[in-house]
Amino acid sequence: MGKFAISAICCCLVIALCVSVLAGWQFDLIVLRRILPNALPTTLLTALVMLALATALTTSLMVLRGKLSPKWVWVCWGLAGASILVALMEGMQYLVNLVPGLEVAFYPEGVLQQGGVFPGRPSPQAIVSALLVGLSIGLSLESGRRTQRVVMLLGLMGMILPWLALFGYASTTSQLYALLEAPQTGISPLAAIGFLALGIGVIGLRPDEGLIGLLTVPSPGGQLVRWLLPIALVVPLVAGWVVTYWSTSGLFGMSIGIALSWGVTSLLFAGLVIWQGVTIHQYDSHLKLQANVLERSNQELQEFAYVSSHDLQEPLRNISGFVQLLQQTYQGQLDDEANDWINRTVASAHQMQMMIRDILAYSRVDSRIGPLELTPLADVFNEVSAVLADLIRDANATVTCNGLPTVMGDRLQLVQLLQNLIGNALKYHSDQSPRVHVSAERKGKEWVVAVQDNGIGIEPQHQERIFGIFRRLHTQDEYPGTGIGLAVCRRVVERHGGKTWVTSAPGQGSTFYFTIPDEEVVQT
Amino acid sequence: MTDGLQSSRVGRILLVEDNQNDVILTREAFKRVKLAVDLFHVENGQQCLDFLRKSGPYSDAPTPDLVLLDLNMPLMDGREALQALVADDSLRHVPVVILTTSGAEKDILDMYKLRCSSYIIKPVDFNQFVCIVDELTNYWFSIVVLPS
Repeated sequence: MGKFAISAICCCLVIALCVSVLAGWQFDLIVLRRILPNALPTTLLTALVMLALATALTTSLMVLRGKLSPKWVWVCWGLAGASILVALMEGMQYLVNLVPGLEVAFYPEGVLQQGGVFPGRPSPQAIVSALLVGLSIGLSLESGRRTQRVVMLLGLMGMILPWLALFGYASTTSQLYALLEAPQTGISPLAAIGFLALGIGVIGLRPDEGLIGLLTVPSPGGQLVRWLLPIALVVPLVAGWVVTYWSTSGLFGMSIGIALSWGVTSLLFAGLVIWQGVTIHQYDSHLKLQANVLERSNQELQEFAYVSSHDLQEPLRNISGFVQLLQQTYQGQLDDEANDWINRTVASAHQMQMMIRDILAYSRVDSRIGPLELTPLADVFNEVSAVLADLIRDANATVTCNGLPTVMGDRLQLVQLLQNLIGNALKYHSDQSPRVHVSAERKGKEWVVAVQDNGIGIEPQHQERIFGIFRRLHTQDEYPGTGIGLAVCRRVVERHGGKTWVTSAPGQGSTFYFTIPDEEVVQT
Repeated sequence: MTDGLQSSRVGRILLVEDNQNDVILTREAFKRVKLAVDLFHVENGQQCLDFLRKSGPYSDAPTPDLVLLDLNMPLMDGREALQALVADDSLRHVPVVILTTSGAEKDILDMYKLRCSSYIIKPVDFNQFVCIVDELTNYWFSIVVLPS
C-alpha cells in the first residue's frame, strides 16, 4: 500500500460505512443508519452516492498504483458522473420544490420510513459535497499541475460542509447540519464522516504533491503541518463537545465551560507555536552553519585551483626544460633512441600541463558564472563561427544554424559550450566533408538545442561516458586532446539549469542535445 | 638618437626567482639569445628591494635596467615587491616585467594595475622560452629607450 495508505484507508472506511448503512435500510436496523440516538439517519440515496464515489476513488487509486490499466479511467468518470448527475437532480428538486423525487423510484418503503419534510432526499449539504467531491474524483486521473490543484481544491471544498456538520453534532447546534426551516432535513454524522473521508482520499491520491506532500516532507515545514493541522482541527471540536456535554449535564455553567475551553485552547496553541518556533530556529542555525562550511570548502577549492595552476606546473616546466637542455647541449652524443625518449618526455610534460589547465577551466565553470543576462544564441553561434573560422575553412566544413532563441545565460560560458560542441563535431569528422547544424526546439518551459553532425558517431555504450572528466574514446595519436570538453559542456549546462545528452550510432553522425530554460521562465 | 645604452654597455637584468631550476633554465636561455646581457639574481622580493636600494650585502650592486619578477616566492612575494617598488619614488622608474607560471586572471589584472611593464607566462617548452627571452632582450635593449 505504501504511500497511498491514506487514500486506501479512506476508501475502505467509506465502503464499509455505506455497506453498513445499506444493511441498516435493508434489514431495518435503525442503529446502523444513525449511530447516535438523536442524530439524523443517513438516507439511502446518500449512501448509494457515497458508495459510487468510493468505488470511483478506489478505481482511481488502482490505476495510479499501476494495478489497473489507464483504460479504467472511464469507470472512474462513469461512477463520478452518475453521482454528480444524481446530486444535480436532487439539488434541482430543492430549488423547484418537487416532491417526491428520484429517491421514491429507488426505494419507496425506505422513503416512507424516513419522515421529515423531504423524506428520503439527500440533505443539501450532502448534495453540495457530492458535487464537489464527485468532480474532484472524476478529475483525479487527469494529468497536469493545474488540474491537480483543482482536484485538491475541490476535495477541500467538499469537506467544508461535512466538517461544520460534525461541529454542529459536537455542540448540538442543529443549524450547522440541518436546514433552518426543516430541522429533520440535514446531513447525518455518517454521511459527514463519509464525505470527509472521500475528500481526504482524493487529496491522498497525490501523496508527493500539494497538501499531502507537505504532510510527509521531513523538513520543519512538514513537521509544523503534521503537528499543528490535526490539533488545530480536532482541539476546537473536542473542546466544543466537552463544553456542550458538561453544560447540558449540569456539571458546569455554559460560561465557565466556554471560558475554560478558550483558556486551554489558547495555552495549548501558544505552547505549540513556541515549540515549533524553537524547532525552526534550530533548523535555521543548522542551515546557516552548513552554508558557512560550504562557503569555506568552496574557498579552499578555489585556492586549490590556484595552487594547481602554479605549483604543479612549475616542476613540470623544469622537467621538460632540463630534458630539452640536455638534448641541445649533448647533440651528437645522443643516439636516435635517446632523442626519442627526450621527445616523449617533453610531449608528456606538455600533455600534463594541458590537463592541469583543463582541470582549472573545469573548476572555473562554477566559480566564474557571471550574472545571467538575455543572450541571443544566434549571436553566440556567430561568435563561435568566427573563432572557429580557420578550422571550418581547413576542414571544408559547413556549419549552419536556424531558429536559435534568446535565453538567459552567461555569454562567455555559452560561447564555450557551443564552441566545444561544434569543435568536437569538426574534429571527429568522417570521410565526408563535415556538416554541422545547430537548431532549437521549444519543449514545455525550456529549449532543446541540438548540435547535429555527420561525423564518425559514437557507440551506444559510450554515450554517457564521454561526458566524464578526461574520458576519451581515442588515443592521442588518433585525435589529440585531454577529454575535458564535454565535461565542461555538461557543467555549463547544469549551471544554467539544463541537461545534456547525445544520440548517435557509429558511422551515422551524432546529435548532441542540451536544454536551457526559456528566458520568460527564468525571469518570472 | 639617444642610443647610449646599446653602444656604451651591456644591459643589466635582475632576475627575482626562488626556484633554482628556473634560475638555471633562465640563465641557459639567456646564453642562447643574440643580445648578451648581464643577469643578476636574487631569491625573493625583499632581496630585490635591497638590491635596488643597494642596502645590506648589496652595497656594491649595479643598478639594473630591467627587473624580471616572479610572483610566488617566500618571505616577500612579487606582488608585495612590486607594490613597494611602485611606492618608492627612487625606484619607480625601473621597468618590471612579470615572469611567472601563474596564468590566473586576477594576478594578471592586479599586476597591470600596479603598472608592471609586461606580464609573461613561462612556457613549458624550453625552445619557446628561448624565443621569448630573445624577443624580450631585443625589445628592451635595442628597441626601447631606457632611462640612464
